[in-house]
Amino acid sequence: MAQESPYSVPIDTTNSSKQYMPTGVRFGVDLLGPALYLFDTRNLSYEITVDTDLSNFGMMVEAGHQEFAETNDNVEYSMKGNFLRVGPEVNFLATDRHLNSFTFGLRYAWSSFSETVVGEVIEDNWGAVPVSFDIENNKSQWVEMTTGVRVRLWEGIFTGYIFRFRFLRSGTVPDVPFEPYYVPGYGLGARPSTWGFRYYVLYRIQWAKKPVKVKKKN
Amino acid sequence: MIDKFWSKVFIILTMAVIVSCGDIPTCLDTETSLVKVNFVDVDGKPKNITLLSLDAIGENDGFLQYSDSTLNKLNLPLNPGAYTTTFILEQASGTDTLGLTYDVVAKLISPECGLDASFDKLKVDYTTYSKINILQTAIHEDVIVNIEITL
Repeated sequence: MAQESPYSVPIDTTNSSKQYMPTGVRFGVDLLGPALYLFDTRNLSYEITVDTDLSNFGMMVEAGHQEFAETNDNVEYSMKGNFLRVGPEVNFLATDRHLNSFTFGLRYAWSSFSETVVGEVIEDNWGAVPVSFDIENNKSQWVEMTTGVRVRLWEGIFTGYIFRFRFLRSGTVPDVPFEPYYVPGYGLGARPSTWGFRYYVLYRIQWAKKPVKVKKKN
Repeated sequence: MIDKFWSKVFIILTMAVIVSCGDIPTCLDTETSLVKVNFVDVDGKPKNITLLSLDAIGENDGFLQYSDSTLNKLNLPLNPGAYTTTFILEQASGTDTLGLTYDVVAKLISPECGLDASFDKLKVDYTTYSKINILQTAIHEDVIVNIEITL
């Protein structure tokens, strides 16, 4: 007989039909973005997450804001924008009674941002050509594969990280001859793929015990 | 068992961090503004011309490297500050013009490296040459010929 916990109940014949009903919602905040800002004041990002459980699957919604700015002798550049990611996850620790998770997930992501750039294009024969753009309503979309771990620390408090691989970026650019440099939530726009890592603290509000599969003992 | 699991996670994370760290921008400039022009005869063989001077409208000094030179290939530098560049080729036999239009997009290589321009969708706007072919509309360093002019 499997042990019960405050957070889960073993799946049996009486409740198996309820295993795909969400039993709670978890809210998270990224700690890494604000922490990195202490070391690199060019790049500021905030991110929050909301997820819910559907048996050993889950649905994630992540939203964030990012700013990047640098001024030097070559260029004055700044970017500011928001991003949103939505997608499912599968939990490989479906038998864990404390709802710890090791997940693989997919996301579809959108971002909307503005860029300002002032500088010069240097051409050997034509010399320095001034460039100045103030671009609003830049939009991008991309796909992500994620993997992550979330561990219950105490009661409803979790901590964990997500590694993400972003690819297939596309976007609409306003009628301005400037290629997006930094895409919020994605990174450098010229890259066909980028990596990301975020460290979260999360709080789960539970309205029912989660039915978990019972690990068979030999 | 759990040790094996976490050691695999650690290895995957370490590899990903190494890949990410290797993704540092460089100032390598892979763009070019040069349109590559070949002069050929009616048989398609290279044909030399003697160029007294090469100028472009809007460029005051001219392209001195081509003054008084005999050649059958020419690299014409497009103006990154405009969508049209008109070149004036002065020869002993007369003066020819070649007006080119194109798309130009500025891009930031990195804040440390500065801005660059990339060119594409090359077209001949007007010319005094009687036979001219665009072989490649993209403008890259690895393009061999963009325009072939038959004399």
